[in-house]
Amino acid sequence: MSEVTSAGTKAEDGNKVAAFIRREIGRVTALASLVVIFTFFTVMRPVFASWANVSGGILMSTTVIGLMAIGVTFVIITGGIDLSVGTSMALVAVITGKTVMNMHLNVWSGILVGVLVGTILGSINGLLITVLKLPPFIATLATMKGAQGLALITSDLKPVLFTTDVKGWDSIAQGNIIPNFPNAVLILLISAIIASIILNKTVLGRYTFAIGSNTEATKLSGVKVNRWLVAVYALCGFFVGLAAVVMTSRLGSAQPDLGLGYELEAIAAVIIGGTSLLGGKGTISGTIIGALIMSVLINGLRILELQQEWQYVVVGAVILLAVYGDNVRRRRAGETTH
Amino acid sequence: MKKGLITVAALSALALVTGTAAPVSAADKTLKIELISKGETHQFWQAVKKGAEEQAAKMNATIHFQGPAAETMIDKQLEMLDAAIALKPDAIGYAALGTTESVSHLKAAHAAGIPVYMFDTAASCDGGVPALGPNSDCALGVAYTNSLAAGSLAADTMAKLLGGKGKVLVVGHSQTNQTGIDRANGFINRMKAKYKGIKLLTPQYAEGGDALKAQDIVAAALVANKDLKGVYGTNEGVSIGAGQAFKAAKLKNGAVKLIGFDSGKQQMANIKSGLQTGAITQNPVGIGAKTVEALVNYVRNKTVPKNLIDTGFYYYDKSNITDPKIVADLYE
Repeated sequence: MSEVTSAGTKAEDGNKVAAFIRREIGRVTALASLVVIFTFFTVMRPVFASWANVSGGILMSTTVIGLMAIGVTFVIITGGIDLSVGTSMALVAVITGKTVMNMHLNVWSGILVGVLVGTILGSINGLLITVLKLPPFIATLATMKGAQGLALITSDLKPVLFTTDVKGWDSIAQGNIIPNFPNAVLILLISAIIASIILNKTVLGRYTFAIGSNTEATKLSGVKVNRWLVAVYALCGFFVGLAAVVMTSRLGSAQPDLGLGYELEAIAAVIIGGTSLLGGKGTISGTIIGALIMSVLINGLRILELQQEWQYVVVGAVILLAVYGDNVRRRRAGETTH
Repeated sequence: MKKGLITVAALSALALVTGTAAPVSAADKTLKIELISKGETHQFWQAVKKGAEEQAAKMNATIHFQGPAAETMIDKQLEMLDAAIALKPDAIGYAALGTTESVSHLKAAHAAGIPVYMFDTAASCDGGVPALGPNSDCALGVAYTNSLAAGSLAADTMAKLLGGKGKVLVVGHSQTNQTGIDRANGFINRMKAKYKGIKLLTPQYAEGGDALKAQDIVAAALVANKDLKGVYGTNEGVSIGAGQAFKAAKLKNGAVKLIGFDSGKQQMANIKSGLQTGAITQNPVGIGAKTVEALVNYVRNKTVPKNLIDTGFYYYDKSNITDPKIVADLYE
């Protein structure tokens, strides 16, 4: 996968290898950190590397945050932010649960409802930002609060149980189309591949980078920036909808109060993966690696039975190290700390 | 049916009272009690209301029960409390949302000569619970669930289920909220003191009762501890997450015991299906009933209530989940 980073390719006429390293080193170091952390835990407790833990523990726990982070990657590359993904997920989950249970929908229609509602919520963010000209931080902070409240209201403050008369809802995440490989992980993998193609091979992807690098220049070159921005937020919402579907399938219910705080975990995964908060630069594979670093770390600390309060400290330190290391490396590579 | 009877009883009591032309003393007049709850829609509060209504009907009193839409709306609840004081009822029952913010409002009730009994959660009155009583300018007392004792019952039950030995994981729902701390510590302290054969893993927390995090925690614990025998979850969300982790790991029902807390549709379904072993339920009906009983006795007979009423809790499992005594305290 050759993912284009917008700026910093001036050296194309120079050493191609140097250019490659400059382009790929973010992900290479992120991947290296992942391998180091993984090896550390494996040495401490070999059971950590067992397939049961890798699939049912680590990969499974990456799915919900990972899907959200894929969506957020697009938004952050445009130079925006989406704080609403966590509570939007809760709202999508509740609406999907209520619709599926009341209308006796089958699994496929249920999934469709989930991604549709997610996409609509994402579009609302996009419209608030482009039509009302609100800063993304404020617009999505408002929808974050709104979604939180609406999730509680529509659920009547009670979890929505997917009873067994909706056949196969739990298989969305926990079934195995490929033996010993949870479907949720497959969904994450396929989503990452499709998102990567959208980001690198389509007009939407090209404009995502362009808007993030220089919105004004993009506008001047005749691109309808607002329309594409709405599309980007809608796409983010799509993945939030998918995350909600996976979440309800994992739990067998929609929990109306579950999601607040997840936005920060998703954003952290994106940043650890090398995407710049200032926009214009980022990769999906980096985001997936970022999400994996987080879940490998948390799973490992749990297996080592580190006290919870220390787990928070270690996670905080690793986020710091990962992002700081990335900055130092980029400065050495002669990039602007974009 | 039952509710209909109560209404009839209440109405006839009312008719009796209003029927007497002579001025009525506190001994036989229908007492008006305002109950300000932490919430209204949640099933737990509905059960508290039911208990209060039933007790009021028995004791010739009427209640007006209200609470804010969400348990974060402290201001809204304090407005309700102020409005209730302004109505000059015979007594007020109050479940503290803003435990410190509400103290000045409770003092205002005292100044207005309205006795207050707290339920579920006490406000941070001067001197704490021991200072509550007729001499307090804050409240007479509080009726609540002793969470430490409830956690300890969960420990006794778990130890019995495991024959006194095996590895057990505690998954808490909060390291900061007092109820959460007490439910976990009650369990842990009891296990350490009484059951030497039980090995407790380091407790983990799914902060806020996050079911997804609870699922991840239990999934990791099952991988790391092939000999894990029991899991204790301190609230509904945690218990759901733990059950789902069992399901994902394809454990045989009962291979690892799971004791949860409270009820809710999914947890009750899991107990009926055998995925979950059982749970501790509080006695919300009792909380409502005891609060009304304390207030009516105080106003009518000047009987000073205890400053702390433990309303109790039960362990329930598949065998007694339909027992009427238990059912009254369970909610979907």
